Amino acid sequence: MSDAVLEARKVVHSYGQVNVLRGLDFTVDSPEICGIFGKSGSGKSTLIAILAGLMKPVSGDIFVDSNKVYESFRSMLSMRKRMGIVFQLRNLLKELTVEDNLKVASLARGQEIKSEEINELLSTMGISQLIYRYPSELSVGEQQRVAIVRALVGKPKIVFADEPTGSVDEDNKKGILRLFRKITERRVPIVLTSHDAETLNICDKVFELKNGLLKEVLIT
Amino acid sequence: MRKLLLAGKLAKSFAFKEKKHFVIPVIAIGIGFAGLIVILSVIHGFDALLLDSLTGFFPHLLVDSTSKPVDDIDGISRIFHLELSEGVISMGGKFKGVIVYTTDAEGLGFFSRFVLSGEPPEDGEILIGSALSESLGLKPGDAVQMTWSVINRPFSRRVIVSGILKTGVYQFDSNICIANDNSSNGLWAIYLNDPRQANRVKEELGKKIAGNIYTWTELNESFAKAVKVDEFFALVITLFVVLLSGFGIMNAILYSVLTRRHEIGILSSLGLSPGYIAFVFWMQAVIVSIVGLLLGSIIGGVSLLIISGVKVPLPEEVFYATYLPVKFSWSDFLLALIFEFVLITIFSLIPARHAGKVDPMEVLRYE
Repeated sequence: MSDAVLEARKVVHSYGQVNVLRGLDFTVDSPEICGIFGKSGSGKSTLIAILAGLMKPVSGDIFVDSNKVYESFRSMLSMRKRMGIVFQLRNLLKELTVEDNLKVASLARGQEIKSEEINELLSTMGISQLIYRYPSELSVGEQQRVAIVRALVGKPKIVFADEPTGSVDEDNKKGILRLFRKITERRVPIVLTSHDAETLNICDKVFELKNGLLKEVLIT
Repeated sequence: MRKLLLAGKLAKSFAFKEKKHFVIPVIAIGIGFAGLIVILSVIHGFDALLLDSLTGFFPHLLVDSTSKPVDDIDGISRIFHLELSEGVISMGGKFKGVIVYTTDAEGLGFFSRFVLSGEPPEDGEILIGSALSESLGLKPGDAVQMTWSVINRPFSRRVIVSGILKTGVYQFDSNICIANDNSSNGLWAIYLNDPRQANRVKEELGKKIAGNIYTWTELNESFAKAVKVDEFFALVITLFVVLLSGFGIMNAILYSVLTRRHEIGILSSLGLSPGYIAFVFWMQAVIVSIVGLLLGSIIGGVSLLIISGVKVPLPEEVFYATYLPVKFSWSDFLLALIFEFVLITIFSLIPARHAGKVDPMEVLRYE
């Protein structure tokens, strides 16, 4: 067993007759940003879902801090609490304010976050002015930034983001990328998928998902 | 505790955001609960009226004994002679079967409280029930031919109606005649301070005297059973209304679950268990129910006030009461509340459990 934060071993997944992941291995062992790109339908979202404890693979194992994610249903739920996840769209509960969305995440992870801590977190991320707003009052980019902050609540071991900049304009994209950098300053690794070159540029390591396997590519 | 508050907050925000979908279930719960309160109050109103009217007039114990029963038993308030016999009265070609109460001066003193018009009977006179007087068109001073028996001795004589009495129980008022006979020495009528103590007094009396003793419940068993059957069917119908409200809330919660799959996916991705997510939706049902039960309490309360204020008339030939009786009790209210709540809980658990089974990935990927 390694000391890696995240380790995927021989992960296989298929949808019916279509094999999406074919014995994929992947390790994250330092607070870095790992970017994954690939063609549409290559299995990026599937991989993120499997890594984040949302979907059990057909075979293979995922470990977070040496704990097997899919050991049991209980372990899967428990591991979800130790990971943050950001989707491409509609990440927030629209009936709750930004503050309450963060509180829900905190309580879901078995912790209680105080309003001052939320303020501090949002200030650090540069979006403290959004604290009492409802998602419907935020732009898509602002919603995405709140979702990223929410992923950080409860001090997760790792954050996953599936196409986090896929639906935002240039300004918001820059803001989101700055946020990711700030997250790694907190020594929290990030695994993200993207098609966007600018997004992949901030990554410490970049992998291409092709034919169900990950291959690291050098950033030039 | 924090998680409970969070579930409450989520459920409240879900419910209020979708309030238009909960209007019908709230009304259904309100009507069901109001119906339950009203029916329980009417049932207990009938019970109380039955107890008051029946035992206000009819002897609590009838003792078949030649000697006067001892009255030193705790709870006995009055003892006098009373002979009960079947008879017929006729007037102008009309005949009517009657129950003749033959009693002494003390008994007449007791029954005089029910006299509506006229006077207690002297020798050769009778008191008749109000419904009987109406059916035969009799009034005080009219003469009728009456045939009856006293201690197996048949009598047939012309008697004068001295007065009309009204007991409040149609079954009595439609066939009763009270005659005066100081020589009456048949049964003993015993009245108690509390008619519900009849069985106890019967038991104690049975140890002291020889002879048969009958309680008012034994002598009116079929009457009480008929009332219970009415009450049972009224309750069954109301329970069906309440069941419908259960289906209403089940549908509303199921709709909520189906339209909130994305939110369920988010909650699940945060690590909340299926049980907890189901709990959030169950809480939503609870919130909707509370609103419905509050509405039902208001509707039920106002309905009871109207029913008792207006005095809804009942056909006397069918019911033993002349108007719909109501008797509200907090224990009924609590019983109805618990029943509704348990029902709603059971019905809402089914769609709430469905919420817990939503696969987060399926929702978040494809929506």
